[in-house]
Amino acid sequence: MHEALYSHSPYIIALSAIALVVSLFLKKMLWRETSAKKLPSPILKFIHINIVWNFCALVGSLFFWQQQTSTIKIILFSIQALAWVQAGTTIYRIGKLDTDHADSNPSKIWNTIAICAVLLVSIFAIFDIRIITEISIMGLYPLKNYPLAIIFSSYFIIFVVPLIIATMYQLFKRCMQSSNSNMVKVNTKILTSFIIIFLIAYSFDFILPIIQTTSFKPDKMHFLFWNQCCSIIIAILAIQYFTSISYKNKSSYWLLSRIVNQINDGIIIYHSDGRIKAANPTALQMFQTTIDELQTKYIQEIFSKNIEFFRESHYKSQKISIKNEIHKFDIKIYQSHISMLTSEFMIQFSDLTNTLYYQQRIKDLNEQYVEYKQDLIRYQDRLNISEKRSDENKNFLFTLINALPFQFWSKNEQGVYVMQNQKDIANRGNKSSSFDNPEQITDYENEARMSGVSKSFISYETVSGRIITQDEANVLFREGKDVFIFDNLFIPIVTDTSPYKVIGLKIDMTEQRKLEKERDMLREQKYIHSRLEELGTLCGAFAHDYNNILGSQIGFCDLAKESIAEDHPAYMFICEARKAAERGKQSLEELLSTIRGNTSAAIPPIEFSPHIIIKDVVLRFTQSLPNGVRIVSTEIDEDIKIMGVVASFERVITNIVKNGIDAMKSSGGQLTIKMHSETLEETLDVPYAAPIPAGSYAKISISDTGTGMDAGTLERIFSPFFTTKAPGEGLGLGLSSAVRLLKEAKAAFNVQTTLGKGTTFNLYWPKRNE
Amino acid sequence: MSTILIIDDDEQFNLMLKSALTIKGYNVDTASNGKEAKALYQSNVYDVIITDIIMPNVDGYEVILDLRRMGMGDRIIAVSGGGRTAADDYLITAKHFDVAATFNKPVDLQALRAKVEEIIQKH
Repeated sequence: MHEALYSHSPYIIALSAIALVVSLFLKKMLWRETSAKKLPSPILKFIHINIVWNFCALVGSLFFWQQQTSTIKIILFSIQALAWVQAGTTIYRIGKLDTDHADSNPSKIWNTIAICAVLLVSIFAIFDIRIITEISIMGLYPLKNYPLAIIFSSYFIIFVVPLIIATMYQLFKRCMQSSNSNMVKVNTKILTSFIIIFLIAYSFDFILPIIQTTSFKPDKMHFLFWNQCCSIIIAILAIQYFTSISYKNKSSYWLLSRIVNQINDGIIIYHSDGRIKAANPTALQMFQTTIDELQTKYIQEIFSKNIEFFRESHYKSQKISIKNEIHKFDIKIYQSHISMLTSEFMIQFSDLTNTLYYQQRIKDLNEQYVEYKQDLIRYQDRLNISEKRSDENKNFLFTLINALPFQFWSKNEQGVYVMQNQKDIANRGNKSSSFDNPEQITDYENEARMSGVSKSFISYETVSGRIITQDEANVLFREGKDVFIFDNLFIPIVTDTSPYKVIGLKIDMTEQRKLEKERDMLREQKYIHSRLEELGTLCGAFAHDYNNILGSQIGFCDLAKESIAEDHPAYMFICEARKAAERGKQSLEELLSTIRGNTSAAIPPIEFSPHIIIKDVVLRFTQSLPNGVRIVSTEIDEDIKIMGVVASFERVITNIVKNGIDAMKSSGGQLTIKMHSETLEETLDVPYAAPIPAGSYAKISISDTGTGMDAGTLERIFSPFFTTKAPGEGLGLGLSSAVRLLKEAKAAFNVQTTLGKGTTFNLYWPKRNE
Repeated sequence: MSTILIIDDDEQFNLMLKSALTIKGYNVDTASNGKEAKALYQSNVYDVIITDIIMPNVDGYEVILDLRRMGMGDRIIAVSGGGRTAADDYLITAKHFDVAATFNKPVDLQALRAKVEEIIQKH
C-alpha cells in the first residue's frame, strides 16, 4: 500500500514555500498596522496552525513525495493533520470574537475528539496499516487503496467543514441583524470572500480530482493543498476583519471617547449583558456617582425595567428617580459592534427636567429682563425728577443763603471756599475756589473743622473793618465812636472722618447789642423803682391812717373851741393842742412829699423805646395764657421814643393787658397791642378822667375781643384804679397805682368799649421833646 | 329835722364829725364802711351823706356810684385824707361822679357845715 500524500511538483513546492514564508511573517506584516497589544488568541492559533501546516507540507513535498509509506512520512502527515483538524474550531472562534471566554467547552471537546481520532489513525498506520485497510463494510474494502487520504478527508469533512459552515451562518446572521450599515458591508464582504475561498479550495482539493478521475484517486495530488493555501488567505482576511471592526482601533476609540466626554447628554456604555462599562462625566454628574461605583452595577438597575436595553430604540419622557428626586429623561439606545459578533450598547439620555428647568429659567430671565428694563425707565424718570428737585433745592438754597441777614460762607474739607452769599461777597470779595491764608484762619474754625463741634466767638471791628479787642472796643464805645460787634459761628458738617466741611456765619450784633444794653438798663431801673414803690406804698398807708388821726384831733379841737368861751383858761390849751396837730400834719405832708418827690427824683424820666417793654410784657404773658386766649403785638412803630419812668410804663401796660386777658378768660379771644404816633391838635376830653392836653403822644392801643362793658361797668372800672385794696378784691382789676403813675408821666388814657365786641384802652404817653 | 349819714372807717373821725353836726341840731347816723352804710341808706332817708373814699370792704366810690343810681348823687360829700397819692387824686375822680362837694382831711368844719346846710337848703 502506497500513498503519495505529497506532490513533488515544483509549483507546489514553490507555493508551499511562499505560504510558509507568508504565514511566518503574517503576524508581523499585518499586525504592525494595528495598535492592540496582542492579537486575539483564535487568530494567533490560526496563524500557528498555518505555520505548522505549511512547514509540514513543504518538508513533505521536498523529502517524502515518493509512493513509499514510511513511518516518518506518516508522523509528518499526522502532525500536519493535527494542525488543520483544529482549523475548523479556530475559524469558528474567530467568527465569534465577541465571546470573551477564550475556549468554550464544546469546541475544546470537539478539538480533543479530532486530535484523538488523528492520533488513533496515525498509530494504526505506523504499527500496522492493515488494521485500517482491511476494514470491510458490507464486503467492500473502502480503505484498501488510499486509507490515509480517505480517512483524513473524512476527518476534514467531519471535523472542519461543519464548523466552517457554522461560521458562515454566524457571519450571515450578523449581516442580517446588524443595524450598522458599515458593519453590514464588512460582514457581507467577509462572508462573500469566505464562501468563494472555500468553494475554490474544495473544488480544487476534492471535487475537481473526483470529476477528472471519476473516482477518488489521490495518487499524484498534494493532500488538502488548496485548503492549505486558502487558509493563509483566511488568516489574512481574519486579521483584516479584526482590524477593521476591532474596538481596539485606537484612533476611532479615542475620538469616540472624546466626543462622548464632551457631550452634554449623559452617556453610559454597557455590555450586552447589561454590565456597565463606561460613562461620561455628564452621566456621572446626573447620577451623582463615580465611575467605580457605576461599574459595579447593571444598566437595568439604573433605568426603569420597561426599557429594552439591548435594542436600538428611543424613549421619551422616562421618569427616573435619582436620590429621591424624579427626573425626566429622553432616552436613546444605540448598539455598537465591537467585533465580528460582539456588540455593546450605548444609552444616551438627556435630562428633560433640566431642559425644562432651563427653558423656564430663560423665560423667567426674559421676564426679569423686561422688568429690569421697566425699572431702568422708572429709575431714569426718578433720576430726572431728582435732578429737577436737586436743581430746585439748589435754587432754593441759593436764594435762601442770599436772603440771610448775615454773612454766610462754606468751605470744603480742604478749606477751599465752596459757597458765599452776596452779603459775604460784598464784604470780603469773591473767594470762590480759593484758600484763606492759614495764619488768618482762627483757632475756632480749625477746631470746628477737626473736632466736629460748632464754635463761636464775638469779634469787634472798627468802622474801617480793622479787627480790635474787646477792651479796645470798650474804649471806643465810651468815647462814643462806632464799633461793630459780630458773632462768628463755625458749624462743621459732620461726616465719617475729620476734617469736615465748615459753614461760617458772621452775624452783625451791633444793633442787637445796643438793644440788649438798653434793656439791661431798663431792667435795672425797673428794679430800683419797684423797691421805691414798695416804700411809697407803705408810707402812703401810714400817711392815710395818720392823717385820719390828726384830722380827728383837729376836728375835736375845733369843736372844743366852739364849746367854751375864749376867756376860759382851757381855751388857750385847746388852741395849743390844735397847733400841735397842725404841726404834725405839716410834718406828715413834708414826709409824704419827700417820698413822692423821691420816687420821681430817684428815677428821673429817661428817653426809651417803648416797643422793647411792650415785647417784654407780651413775652411774659405769652408764657401763661389761659386756653383760647392769644396775645399779639402788631403795627408797633419801633422808631418811637418816649420820656418817662420805665417801670411805670411797664406797670401800666401790664395792668391793662392783665385786665384784658381776664376779660377773655372764659370766652377766649385775642388781645392786640398796637403803637403809633398821634398828635393831638387840641385838648381831648375824656369821660371820668382828666382831659388830655394837646401834644405829641405815643398812642398805645390795647384791644381785647372780650364781652365789652355796659355804661355802668365802664363807670365803675375807674374806681378800682384808685383803691388801695389788695388785687382780687372789689372789681379785681388790680391797677392801684396806674393813675398816679400816669399822672407822674403826664400821660393819659381813654376807653372805647362796645358790648359784645370788646374794649380798647388808648394810652397816650408823651413823646420826648423834639 | 334833717338827717345826715357819716361813713368813715376811723371811729374817732366819725365821732368828731358826728359831734360837730349834732351840735348844729342835725340827726346823725354813722357807718364804718360802705357795707354798713348801704344797710342804713336803704332803710332810712338821709338828706346828706358824708363818705370817706378809702375804706375796707366796700369803698367810697362804690357808695357814691350806688347812691348816684338812687338819684342821690348831689347829696354826697366826699372826704379823703389821701393815701399812696395825694387826696386830690381821689377827690378828682369823685368829682367826676358828680358828688356835691369834696373835702380834704383834715376837714374845715365850718366849710363842711356850710356845705351840709347848702345841700339841705337846695332840696
